[in-house]
Amino acid sequence: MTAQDLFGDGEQFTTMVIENSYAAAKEPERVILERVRQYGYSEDAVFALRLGMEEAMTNAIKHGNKCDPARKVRVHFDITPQRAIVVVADEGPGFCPDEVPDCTAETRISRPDGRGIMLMNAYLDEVAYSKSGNAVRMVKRNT
Amino acid sequence: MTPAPTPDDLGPLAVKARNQGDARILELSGEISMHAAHGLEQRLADEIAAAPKRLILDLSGLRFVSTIGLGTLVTANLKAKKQRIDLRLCGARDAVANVLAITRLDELFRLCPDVNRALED
Repeated sequence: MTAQDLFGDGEQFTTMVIENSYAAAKEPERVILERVRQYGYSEDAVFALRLGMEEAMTNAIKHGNKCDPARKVRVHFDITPQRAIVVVADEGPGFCPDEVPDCTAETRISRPDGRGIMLMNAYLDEVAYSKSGNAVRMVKRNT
Repeated sequence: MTPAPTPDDLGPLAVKARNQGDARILELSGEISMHAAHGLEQRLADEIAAAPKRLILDLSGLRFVSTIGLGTLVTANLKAKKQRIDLRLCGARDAVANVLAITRLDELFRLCPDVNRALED
């Protein structure tokens, strides 16, 4: 795994390893959203974090792990009253986010897919990828 | 592979349907998350196959839509266009409307403020 290069100094992550399925993705999502709600994050912040997590999980399960049930998804999170950090890592070969085409381009606007990265960048305070491209780090601040 | 939910098992999403004149109105309440999107896609495909003149998706009860959920709506729009069905979205709350705006899907769909406006020509 290569998620460690996305961990910052002093950050203390809890890790959940889940099966490669949408059903299994519910549990880390539930735990993380419960935690941020306990800390009083705004509904807008919760919405943003959920949007980012759903996209990251979908990418990991579908594109990274190619829906392979033998693969796992690792979700690392460090939530404080000030900010939520979530790192989602898959076991795929990774991708280059800069090569993802603009989903709002005239030729792509009517395609059903390809909007996730744009929304993550729009809604989250920080989005970063591991060098190998199979782990994403998302930060949402409680403002 | 995750087993696909059936159209009646949409988890946190509820769909209520009614007819008004030539229009079929679907009230979507709750969330179009990754867990509900496949079931909704099937449900919308069934509604489009029934070929109403106009299909209105009332989003006023929708609290969350994921990117998979957006894809479901885009797919429905494509299918509706092919069948020459007038598909309209209405009543989106700010959070959902913002997602549509950021992705420029507000330019792809016909958006109306509420059901009454969506029923107008």
